[in-house]
Amino acid sequence: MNLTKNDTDIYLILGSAILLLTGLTGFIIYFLVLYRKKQVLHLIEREKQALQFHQEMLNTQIEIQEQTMQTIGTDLHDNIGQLLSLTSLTLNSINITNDVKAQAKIESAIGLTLKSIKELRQLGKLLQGDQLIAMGLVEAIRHEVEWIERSGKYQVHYSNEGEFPAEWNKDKDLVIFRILQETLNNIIRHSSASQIDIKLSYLDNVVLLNISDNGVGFDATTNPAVKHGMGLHNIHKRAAIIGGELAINSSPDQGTTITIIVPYP
Amino acid sequence: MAIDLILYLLLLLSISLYGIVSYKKLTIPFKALAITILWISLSEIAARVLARTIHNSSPTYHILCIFLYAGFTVTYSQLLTGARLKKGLLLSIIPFTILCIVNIIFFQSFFSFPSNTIVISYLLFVVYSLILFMQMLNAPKEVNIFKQGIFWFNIAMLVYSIITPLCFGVSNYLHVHKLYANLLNDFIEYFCFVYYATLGYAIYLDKNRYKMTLVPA
Repeated sequence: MNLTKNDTDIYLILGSAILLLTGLTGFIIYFLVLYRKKQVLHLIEREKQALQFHQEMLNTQIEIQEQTMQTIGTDLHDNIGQLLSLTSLTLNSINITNDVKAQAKIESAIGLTLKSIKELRQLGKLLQGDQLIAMGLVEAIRHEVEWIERSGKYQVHYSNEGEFPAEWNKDKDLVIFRILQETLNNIIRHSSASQIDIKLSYLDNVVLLNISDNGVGFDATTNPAVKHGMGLHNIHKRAAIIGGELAINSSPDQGTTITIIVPYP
Repeated sequence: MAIDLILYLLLLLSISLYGIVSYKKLTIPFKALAITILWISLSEIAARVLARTIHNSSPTYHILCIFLYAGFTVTYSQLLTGARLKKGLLLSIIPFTILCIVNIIFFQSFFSFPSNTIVISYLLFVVYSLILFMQMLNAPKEVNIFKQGIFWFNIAMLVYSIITPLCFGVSNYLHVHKLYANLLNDFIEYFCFVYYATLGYAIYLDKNRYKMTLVPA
């Protein structure tokens, strides 16, 4: 069979058309299958992230409770325990034959008991844990500052700027508050500072928490604690899960400044 | 006027009308698409008028080709991410317009069908649509793909931009060899129907994007 040029052309056109249409159909089917696969992977990844987030939030809550318990333990031992021991000693030393001295000691014991009750009430507030965050970040931090000041070792200056939104983001509040606790722990344990400045501000949908001390500081570029220290590592991780960023500025004998920036609410 | 032509124009006008009515509810790329379809509708009407009066509708297609490229390129530039790519796409409108003018002056006069520039624009649309498909794969959405306006728009553009130059080639062959071309003409006609209906569906999906349900994992 002899093919004319016309025949060759039409076969060429038909062949190309079939090839092109087959390729196009194949591409569309391949795309749809691949897209579905990616979609499923994306959903699994998102669920994983959500699970991780909830886990972190739970950890944060537990850590805040642990911190609270630790504070209560320390306070019971160092403060209320001492007050009650003193009350007991005062009551034991009363000589009932000497009315005047006995009266003075009883009054002193009453004073000590009242002070213990007041301290216990303060401690009771701390036990409320979650309710502390429910009061709002500004108040929760103020409460935490009060406890630090009670030790008498630190001069704490706390200020807040900007008008916070009417609706609080509980999850973010919890994490920011925990970051503050962790940072204050680090200051108490390692910095030998005498002065702590805490500034909380809200501007353009961003919360900025700035904590600085006048302690020994460290070399932020070389100190392995910055990268591997459990406290700082945790702070970094926590800031990241709420979409925040952390900046550490420190050098030996120059104190430390930690800034956390979180989109809010 | 043939009934299929009336239906074709009616379809185009209905999509244009729907695009205008829901304009405020559309996202920016689909706003550009709605305007492009409106322009196509007006051009198609103008083409029929010219065909009846001066027996040549080609001048309309010369102008339409530029607006078509600009409209679809703006749509793609809004759908694609990447600042440089967006900028590149928008800037490409300028050389394309120059190319169209050069084509009118040197190759296909105002009264010949501008197949050169149309084929070039379709080849570029194929590239844009493939880039968009790649982008879709890199960032899959949780919405069922068949309920995504972007998918239907892109698939319509890809298929149309590949098939149309092929049809031009076959049509040219049939014309040169004085062969029967009615079947191909009918195919092109129905194909255009499907193409514009798909674009209309894409606009509809974009307008109702908030009602979409998420896909189960």
